[in-house]
Amino acid sequence: MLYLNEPAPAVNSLHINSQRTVVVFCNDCKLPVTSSAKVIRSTDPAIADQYGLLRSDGLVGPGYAVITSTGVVRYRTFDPAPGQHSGEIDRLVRTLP
Amino acid sequence: MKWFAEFSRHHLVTTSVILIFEILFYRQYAHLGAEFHFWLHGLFGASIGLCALTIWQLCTKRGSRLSGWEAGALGHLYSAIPDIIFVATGVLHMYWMDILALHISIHFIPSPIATMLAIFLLCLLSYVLVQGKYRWIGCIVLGLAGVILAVALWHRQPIPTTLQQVKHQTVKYSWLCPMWDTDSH
Repeated sequence: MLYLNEPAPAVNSLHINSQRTVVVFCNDCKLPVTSSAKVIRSTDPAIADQYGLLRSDGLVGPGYAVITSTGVVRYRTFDPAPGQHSGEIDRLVRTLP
Repeated sequence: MKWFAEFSRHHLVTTSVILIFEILFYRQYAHLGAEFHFWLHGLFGASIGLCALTIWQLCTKRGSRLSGWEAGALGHLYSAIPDIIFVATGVLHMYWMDILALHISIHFIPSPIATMLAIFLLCLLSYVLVQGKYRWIGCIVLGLAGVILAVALWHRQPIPTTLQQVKHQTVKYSWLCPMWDTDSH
């Protein structure tokens, strides 16, 4: 469910422009493949914290956030293997503006 | 063995079909890493089915052609419609899907599985009591299930809409169950 609805944090740091974006937070996980959105990786703990994807032990993710072309974050979740869940992520981003 | 003799061929067939349906259903959820949803919606759906059957029997004062098994399975099917739609067509969960057995809200009640198990057991007990002609006690037990549901919904956490709310959300479990890769089906 796309339950979030607020401006995405750190859009400039993440170089997010006006296209649907999946920000994957992890150090060395495989990235998901989708033709419906730009996929970028972030390993920055400060940004991960803003997305609620910094673990209590200080590790980044693994997880991802889904951002609309208008810069609104609509979904974020921890995910142990985003690269293996391209289908799910693609379904999410295809519904976005 | 009297009960077995009374167990009609119709019920034998439907019970078998329901068992197969539930096993396949569980395997589908497990494949998606979503066992939590199977139990949550399964228990509440079965409760709705049993509750409806019990109320029918209380109102009409006669038996139904449906067995408890059948009513429970139909209730489960009803409560799982949003998940079926998601897997089949990719339509995401939305707030309006609460009309389908509170499909969204019950994720946010305190101790979701334990609460739904308690409600299910009370509905089952109520059904058995009404079947056994203990109608008033059955009514009271069914009412107790309703009160527990009402209290649980009253104390449910609000659905977060901001990252700040997500970070401070104490009900974490409902978000730790992503629906895994669905295009492999």
